[in-house]
Amino acid sequence: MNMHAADGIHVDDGALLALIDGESAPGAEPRTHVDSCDDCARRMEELRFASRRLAGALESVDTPSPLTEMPDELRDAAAAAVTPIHSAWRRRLRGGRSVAAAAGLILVLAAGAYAVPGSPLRSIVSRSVDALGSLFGGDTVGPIDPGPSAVGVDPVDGAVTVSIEGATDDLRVTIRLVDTSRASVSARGASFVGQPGRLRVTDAAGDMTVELPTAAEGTVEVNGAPVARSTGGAITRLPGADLVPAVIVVETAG
Amino acid sequence: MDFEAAFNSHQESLFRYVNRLVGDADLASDVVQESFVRLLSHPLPDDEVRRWLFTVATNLVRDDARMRSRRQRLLAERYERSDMASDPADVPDEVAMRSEQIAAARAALEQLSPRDRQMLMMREEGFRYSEIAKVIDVAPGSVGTLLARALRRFAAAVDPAHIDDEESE
Repeated sequence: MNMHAADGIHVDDGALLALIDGESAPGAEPRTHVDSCDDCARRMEELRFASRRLAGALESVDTPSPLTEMPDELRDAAAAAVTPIHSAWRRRLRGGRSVAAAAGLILVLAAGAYAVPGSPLRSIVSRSVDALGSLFGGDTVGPIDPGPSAVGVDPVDGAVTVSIEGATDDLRVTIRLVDTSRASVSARGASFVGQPGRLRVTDAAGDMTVELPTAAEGTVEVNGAPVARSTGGAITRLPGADLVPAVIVVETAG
Repeated sequence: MDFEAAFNSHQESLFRYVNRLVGDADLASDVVQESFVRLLSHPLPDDEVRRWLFTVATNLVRDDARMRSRRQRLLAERYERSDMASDPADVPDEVAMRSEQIAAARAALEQLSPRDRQMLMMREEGFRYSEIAKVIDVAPGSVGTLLARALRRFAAAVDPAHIDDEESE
């Protein structure tokens, strides 16, 4: 048993069920074989019968969903989950082109300053941002986005691991391959501990970008669970990506 | 992602799946709501939402020992009720027959491993083998074989006279 029709013997149960389910079976041989093999046709009918029996059994234990409409608690949670930051900023910036231009300049400076850990520009930019807040008026100025910090690390023996710790559901990690020699991580408000072959990232929130070098074997872990792996110039999303609280986006194309 | 649209599209299928796993509509409802609450903080592309919801719900069921023990207790209670209901003096034949069918189906499903149940029920919800592989964390090429074995185990559990084709050889 469990041999392929191409061997001239029998088709295994998995391939028979794949035929029943319309899943792509390896090659056209199983169907051809079943049509001319009484034993395989019988086993296929057994699986069909078991499948119908299961469907009937499951239907017999079904109860109607009590959630015909979205519960109020869930609706409230959905409404609260909508982040108003962008629209709030747009309203504030609507006040005047000059203020908007100043805001843009300062935010660009902020991004540049914070991209360099330890940069003296950080305090200057922070003060400018605070001053800009007073120009906007209104009750309060929302939290200023300081822009991402970026840190790179070299592979060791052709391998590099990026370990993201303490990730929550506020974090969205985009992982991609790049044609550089170093792995790098860009994130807001994060702390980095780097050593050759390994980069540990903590306290990250918002959008994070992880770039793995195509020439190395790369692994990205979130809260200890491997979520993506790259090897041979290809990157794979691992099942662990669905089990961690953060959103994991693996860019496999391009 | 339109959250309300996602809820309307997937809640019924997700509830049916979880309810079949845990045998408790209240608990299934809680799991479904918790899954959607978690979705709120995971703005996914529309085509990834369904699989993600089923993965989360599967893990909520799988990882919660309290849930498992509660399920077993509820099943035991259900079997007791079924035994009482099967008394022809108490209930009409049709109701008694349905109770017996439910009890038999439940008993057969309970004899399957959690993984077998999850795979079979995802298949019943129309998931492709590749999607089942991702949610259950098995190799895609093994899904057909695992499903077929689970089906035969179910058939054998429902009908003890059933001879498993593989075991007979």
